[in-house]
Amino acid sequence: MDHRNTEEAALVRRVQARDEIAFREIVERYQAKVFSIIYGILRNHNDAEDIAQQVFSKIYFSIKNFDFRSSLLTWIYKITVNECYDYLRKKRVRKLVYESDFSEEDAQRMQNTDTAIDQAPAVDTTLAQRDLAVKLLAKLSAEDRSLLLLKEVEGHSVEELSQMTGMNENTIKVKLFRARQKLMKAAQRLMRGSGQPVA
Amino acid sequence: MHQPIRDNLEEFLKGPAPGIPNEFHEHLQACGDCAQELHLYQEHAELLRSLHADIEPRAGFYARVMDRIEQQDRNSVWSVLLQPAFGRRLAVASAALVLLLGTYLVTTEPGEPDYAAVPDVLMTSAPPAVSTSALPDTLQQQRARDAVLVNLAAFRQ
Repeated sequence: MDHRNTEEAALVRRVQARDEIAFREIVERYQAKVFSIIYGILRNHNDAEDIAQQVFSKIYFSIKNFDFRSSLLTWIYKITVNECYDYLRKKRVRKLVYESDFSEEDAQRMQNTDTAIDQAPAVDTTLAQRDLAVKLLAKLSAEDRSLLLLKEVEGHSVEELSQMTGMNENTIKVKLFRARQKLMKAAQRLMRGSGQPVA
Repeated sequence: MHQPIRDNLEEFLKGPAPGIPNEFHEHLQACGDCAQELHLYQEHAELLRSLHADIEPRAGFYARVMDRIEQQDRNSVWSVLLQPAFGRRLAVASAALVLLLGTYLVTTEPGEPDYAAVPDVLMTSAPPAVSTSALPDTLQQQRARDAVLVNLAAFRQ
């Protein structure tokens, strides 16, 4: 599909020419989608607001490099998902840095507490499910992650994904299948690592 | 996973779909491996759907985005100076400048002024009318030149 001759492409060109009204239209059109993706992954309203702002700021500064190879939504989606995973990675690194300030004994005690929490039965099953989904998605490439989220979380059909990405439907099916296989292998590794029976 | 299942996997995971061919269901009944794998894919699809959220940002989101953009735009002017590539170039240029200045200072150490050179300069910078003139020297010009030479000789002594 040619993404250069759509109404959306005209809007993008206006933003590329630094038309702020056009940018406002993009923000208003996609803010709910971006926000719900981030909230779906992080489940924290303040973090979601902060990252959503960052996503649109990134869109503003890098839209001049948008080359119409995919739809605007797919491009925004990739930026959003990557921002979420960058945030989670930084958060993990921060936690490690703070832990390095502790004595070895403190760190050991904290690690034992973490293990105990991990092994305890989840109080909130939905929360535990979400955490597992986020962990598993982190093992996939950005493209696989976006495709799976667009298909399963946003509910887009293969046909819509094909239109959004410019790839044909068979390619989308093959990519989705491989992504599902990787997700399954990641789940098996995670279960084996935590000593739980492999599903 | 065998082809009949693989071909219709996305349709099947979407939920009850009437368009799925009988071949799919027949194969599923006959192949335990495919049934088991399909069950796992269903579970993972459900897991991913748990990430779905219908939530919108608070009012005034666009204004907050523009504030952030302005803030980042201001920062980006200064951040150019902190970028590694630019910083490296700046360091190399500064080092080269210091080296050049150092070399210049060492090689041009101030000494005693060479007064002997002064008259030569004066001589060479004599009015061009005299030196470039094609006319023969008059007696008056000859005397004036002699007077200058005498003065110079006296100055040297």
